[in-house]
Amino acid sequence: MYVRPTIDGEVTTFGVSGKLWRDSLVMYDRATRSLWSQLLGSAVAGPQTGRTLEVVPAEVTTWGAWKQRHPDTLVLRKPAREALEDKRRRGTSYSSYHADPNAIGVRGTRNPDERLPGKMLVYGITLNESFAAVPFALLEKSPVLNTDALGTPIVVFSPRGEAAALAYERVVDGQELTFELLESEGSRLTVRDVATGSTWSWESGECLQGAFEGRSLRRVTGSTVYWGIWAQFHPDTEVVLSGQ
Amino acid sequence: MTSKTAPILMFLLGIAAVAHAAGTNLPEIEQIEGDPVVTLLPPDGIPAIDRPKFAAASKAKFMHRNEPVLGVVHNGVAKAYSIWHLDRHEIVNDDFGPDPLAVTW
Repeated sequence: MYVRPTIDGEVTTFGVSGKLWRDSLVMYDRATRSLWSQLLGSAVAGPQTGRTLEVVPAEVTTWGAWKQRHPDTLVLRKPAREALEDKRRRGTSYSSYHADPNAIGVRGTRNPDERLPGKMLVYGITLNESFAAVPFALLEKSPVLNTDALGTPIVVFSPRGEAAALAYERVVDGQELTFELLESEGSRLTVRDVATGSTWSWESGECLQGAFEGRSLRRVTGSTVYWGIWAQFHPDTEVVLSGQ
Repeated sequence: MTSKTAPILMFLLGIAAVAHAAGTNLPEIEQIEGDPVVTLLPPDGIPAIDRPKFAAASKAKFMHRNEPVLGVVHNGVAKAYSIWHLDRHEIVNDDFGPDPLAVTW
């Protein structure tokens, strides 16, 4: 998700351009009709070229899991006909897309980087213009993943069974922390740092109780994406295959 | 031309100029950083949602338990957007209190 930018003193809205670049959505802003890459969060053509949008973290998860964690949540409504279509649904609208493990994107691009299967879901993280992909298959085994990807101590949290993940720099006051899973119940993760046993919120990066109470970890920007798409945007990406 | 038709003509030319500007195409760029830009549909061929409406969780019988959603908490407000529904619209222009956000999929 992005903060909608102010252009010429007014906050603009985005529309769907109908164009694809690297098999990914291209948006346009209604103020200047510049083109913006949804994955990069920056303008790639038109008057706003080079401008980058501020990211707001969002999670890909299931309605049931999200509702359990946020009972006060609102949910986007659907028109009656579409609500009925979805009520009857079994697969996703891309079910034939998933059937071919090698065709990436609407145009069936081949996987550009064989390090991982093109249709594998990864959590792609970005820090200081460097990129790393963490397969969700790895996060399924390690819901709390400590890594030094991108040359920095990073921790990735991901509740089992969800394509939801959040990443943080695991450093507080220059001290590197290692995190471990205390408890995993459905969609709830309780995590703590090994050094002090303080418990932390995986969703906000804030220390809830213990020596670091009130402190927060710095978030690392990330998104849930297919490897084949991520690799098109970031050919030099690291791939994280194990944690510490 | 009489003194009455001149202003009318100016007015019509003005309307035509504004209409042309409003209907201006998007940048017709063919490649960016060596990778092609492919045009599949006209602008807004997939309509973004500009005035999203929301239901409370307790009034959301239209949602499956296993339905994939994009969830976000911002300014103390939690919202979920069905990914099945985002497939239809790709973009939701939304507001979280004073903050204008774009949910993109």
